[in-house]
Amino acid sequence: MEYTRQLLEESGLGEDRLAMYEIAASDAPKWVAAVKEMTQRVEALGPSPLRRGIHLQADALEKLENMVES
Amino acid sequence: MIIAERKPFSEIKDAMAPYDKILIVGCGTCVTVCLAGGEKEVGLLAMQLKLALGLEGKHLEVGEITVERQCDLEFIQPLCGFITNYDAIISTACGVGVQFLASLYPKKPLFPGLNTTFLGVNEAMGFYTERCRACHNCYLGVTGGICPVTMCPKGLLNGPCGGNVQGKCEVDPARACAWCEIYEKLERQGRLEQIEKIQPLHPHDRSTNPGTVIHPAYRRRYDGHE
Repeated sequence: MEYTRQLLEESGLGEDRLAMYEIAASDAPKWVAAVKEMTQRVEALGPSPLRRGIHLQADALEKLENMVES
Repeated sequence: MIIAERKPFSEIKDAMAPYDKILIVGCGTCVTVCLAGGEKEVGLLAMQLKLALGLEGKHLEVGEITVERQCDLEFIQPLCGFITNYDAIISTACGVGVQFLASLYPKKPLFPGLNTTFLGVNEAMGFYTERCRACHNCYLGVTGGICPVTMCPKGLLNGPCGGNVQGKCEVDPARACAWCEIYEKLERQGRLEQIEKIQPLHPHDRSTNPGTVIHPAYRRRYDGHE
């Protein structure tokens, strides 16, 4: 895990995009906290720098929702 | 086996700056075991280079191949066919493999992906220690299987230097004195008299030039008498 984070850092993507949490199957609060933490971190980091200039098409979100519903 | 470590990524990336299409050649023997230059590490390096250069807006085409051994002509000769399609090569073999590959393809820029460190053993997964200096004259028979050339930082052949403190080395107090270990080993085996014999000067002249070994069965062939 540490090594993979190091590889990402060297590549310029940043090591913070990858994390591993150890959570027991019965430990729901810890799971929620981990998801919240990771979500906040990803939001702060922004989209992958490799996707710079690439934006979602206007109707992409709607299509995804339709796919989930069907 | 030969132990190596991957070069800093920035060094490899900087070397690749002038090229658009490169080939990474891995080695499937020693450097695969020490997790430095095998098929998996070739894949990781290729991915890292593509990501890092992609971030700079550059498209790098990376080919990957891992041969059984880069120090053996029969395994690297088959690369002739497609190596010409690439602008440059990175070899993740030890220095031996890199040089052999470079001599076979003299027109192609070739860069090492690893720093070759020593001849050592695999103590545990990911943990390697040096054992041999390839010094041309093995003393292990008279030193109980502990090499004084490698394990003693001063490479002394006739007993300890006198600087050891309670069996620890004066150069690195965290390590045991090699000669104390040799003494204890020979004492346990009941053959202490072996180290009373003075060892002559080490034949350094044999290691001042690139070494050559010709097996006795092949002498006539390579001495040009055949």
